[in-house]
Amino acid sequence: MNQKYAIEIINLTKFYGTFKVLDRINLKVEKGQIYGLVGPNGAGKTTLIKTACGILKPTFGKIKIMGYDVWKDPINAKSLLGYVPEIVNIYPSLTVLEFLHFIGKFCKIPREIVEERIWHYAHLFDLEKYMNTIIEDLSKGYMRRVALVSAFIRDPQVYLLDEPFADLDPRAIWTLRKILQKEVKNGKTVFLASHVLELVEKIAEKIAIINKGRIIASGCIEELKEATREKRKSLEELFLELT
Amino acid sequence: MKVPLSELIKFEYKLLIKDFKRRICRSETVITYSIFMAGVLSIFSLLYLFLFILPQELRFSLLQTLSYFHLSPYQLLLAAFNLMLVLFIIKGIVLLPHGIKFSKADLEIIIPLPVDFRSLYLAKYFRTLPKILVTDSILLFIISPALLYFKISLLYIVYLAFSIIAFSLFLQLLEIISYLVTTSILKKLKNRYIKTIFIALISTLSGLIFLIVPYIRSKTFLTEILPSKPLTDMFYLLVHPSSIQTQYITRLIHILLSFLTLFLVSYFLAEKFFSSETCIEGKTKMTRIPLLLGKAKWKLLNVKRRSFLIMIKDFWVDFRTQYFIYFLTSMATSIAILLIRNAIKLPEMALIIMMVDVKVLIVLFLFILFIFSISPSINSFLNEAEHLWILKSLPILPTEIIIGKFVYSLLLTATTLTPILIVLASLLPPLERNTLIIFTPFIYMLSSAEGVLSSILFLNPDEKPHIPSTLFIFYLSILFITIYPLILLIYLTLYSPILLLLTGTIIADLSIFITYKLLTKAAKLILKKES
Repeated sequence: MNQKYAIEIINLTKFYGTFKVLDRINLKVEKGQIYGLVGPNGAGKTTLIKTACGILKPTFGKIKIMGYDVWKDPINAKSLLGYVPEIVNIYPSLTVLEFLHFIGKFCKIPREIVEERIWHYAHLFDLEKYMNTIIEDLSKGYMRRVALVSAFIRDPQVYLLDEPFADLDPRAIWTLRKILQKEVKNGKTVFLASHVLELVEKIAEKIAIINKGRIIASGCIEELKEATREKRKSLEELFLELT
Repeated sequence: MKVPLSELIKFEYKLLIKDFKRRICRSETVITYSIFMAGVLSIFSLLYLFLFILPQELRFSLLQTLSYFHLSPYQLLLAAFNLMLVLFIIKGIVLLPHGIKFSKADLEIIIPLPVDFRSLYLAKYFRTLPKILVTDSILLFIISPALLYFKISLLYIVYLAFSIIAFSLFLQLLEIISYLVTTSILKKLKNRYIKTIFIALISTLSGLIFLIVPYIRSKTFLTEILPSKPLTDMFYLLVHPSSIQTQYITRLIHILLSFLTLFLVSYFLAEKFFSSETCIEGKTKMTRIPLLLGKAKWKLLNVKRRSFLIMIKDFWVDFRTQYFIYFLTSMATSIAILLIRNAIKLPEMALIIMMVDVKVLIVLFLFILFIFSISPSINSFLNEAEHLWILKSLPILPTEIIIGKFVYSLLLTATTLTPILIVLASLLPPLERNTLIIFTPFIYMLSSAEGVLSSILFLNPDEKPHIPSTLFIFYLSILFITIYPLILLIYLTLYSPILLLLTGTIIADLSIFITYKLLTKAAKLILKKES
């Protein structure tokens, strides 16, 4: 599909009861880039990602994934998505391998291909020895690795990752970074929310800063620095000044 | 310095009050509890209507059946109380009792403090007391029409209230002890297969005790010491105005002594086995089991529909959790009933069928059938809870999710209940047998659809799965509203084949229409559920 934008968020507003969590968000994420979303606690990062992947229904506005509206054409939109939530909860009584095969089957990926991808990513994330372990017995870090692998085996066009580095050890963080960079080289798009500003600064080509449900700044890091008084600021300093 | 017990209790009550205040302010809590109260009232008013006013012949047939088995209403009541004992023992074997549950906040805040586990156990225990008092008040409210019917004085009602509260406390302790004992045994068992077999075995054995109790006619040591005995006596003394007051006091002392004994046992057991390691919220005691089922296979009969995949997933998830134990226990108990009935009572059963009005039996069978078809559908979405994000982020339509859940619940209900139904149907004359066979699928269908809808309504994607009592009551209420008139219609038209045919057609169409409407509503609701 000849689509310029992987993610288009148009005038997105979301209310929880009477509380406005997202306020007229407009964001366009180009194909083939890592886009970072940063913001203080309660700014609306998780809500934005959940709304973008069709878990939460927007009160107003539209979200398009590779041109498909998430709510009007959910099957096509979600077929192109890989999502990892901030708090990972997976069916505790399935084994890692069973869960990954379930996802593969669901996305109609041929068994041989799914098998190959599972073992490839399991090897990268050091999950091989846990493949027949029941998910309930895994630690938080390994649970996140399983969720990440479940997103990678789908081979999606767009990744929506909420705090993907949380609970991971330095080696796993390094692995994840490398995989994401490789995926982007292959034309995939990554939209990630994180509190780890140094990491976001290192890997993201563009960044949006969200505060109180509104995007207060967006662009590449250089553009963001331009927007402030002192140009040599780090993302952390920018973040502190803007939020 | 240790944190004193009084401080811990104060802290628990403060949390309880704060939690209550937080919940009571939410509109959904008010709605839920309104539904709960309306549900309880509607169910029991219908039940009273059913027992006292409506079918005279049903009451007569019931008494006839009981007298044939030499069972008095007293023995039935005793059996009911003993069944509660067994249920609480099984609950303790399989689930973590509410009274000794460590929440995540406990683990992070209380446990790092210098606290004594015995004091913590007592604090947790005291926290559950208000809940028991509220539940018992509701129970008394429910049985109040019966108490008024028997013209029971206020003093005797106070006696009854005390004994009910003491019995509830006894049941709660029984559950805790059962949990602590099995946990300590399970700790020693390393093999998962053996653990599962152990749990299934003791649950089934406890179930079988219930089967034996109604047949104990002579006064044995077991029937005398159980606190269900004095409670049953209390109920019976209440309806006989000639009884003397001292009898009440003796029975009350008996119940209180049983409670105190159990309390001491639980206290000493808690000293040894109550710990943050064994009582963590959300962890099922029974470790997940590969059992005989092996590895999950996602390809079956080459069906590629996504709904079908959801069904297979639910099968594996359910059968590796405590549901499997319930299923095993229910199947084992059913088989035991069938074996006992077939071996000893089959000719007598046939005789009873001849004696009593078969129409009434059909109504009873259908009635029992839909009540027993609850659990699979009610669990359908509660089991998703915090995992809902997986389904919602996958390429699947809400209607496909609903169809998968509905068909799975239907199959589970059918496989659990059909063996018993076949045996019951085989005892009936042809017309009644056919009626039962024809109407059963519609009862299954309606109850499953209603269970799925109720399950979505009460689904909380932020919490670990549990079945709120409100959901249970809500489900029963809507079942009564939809199925009770249908059963009455069957009852009224049973002896005229033409009328029955007409009614059958109407009921079939109506059931399909209601099921369709309920499932459409469920599909809309799943979109609104936010996690």
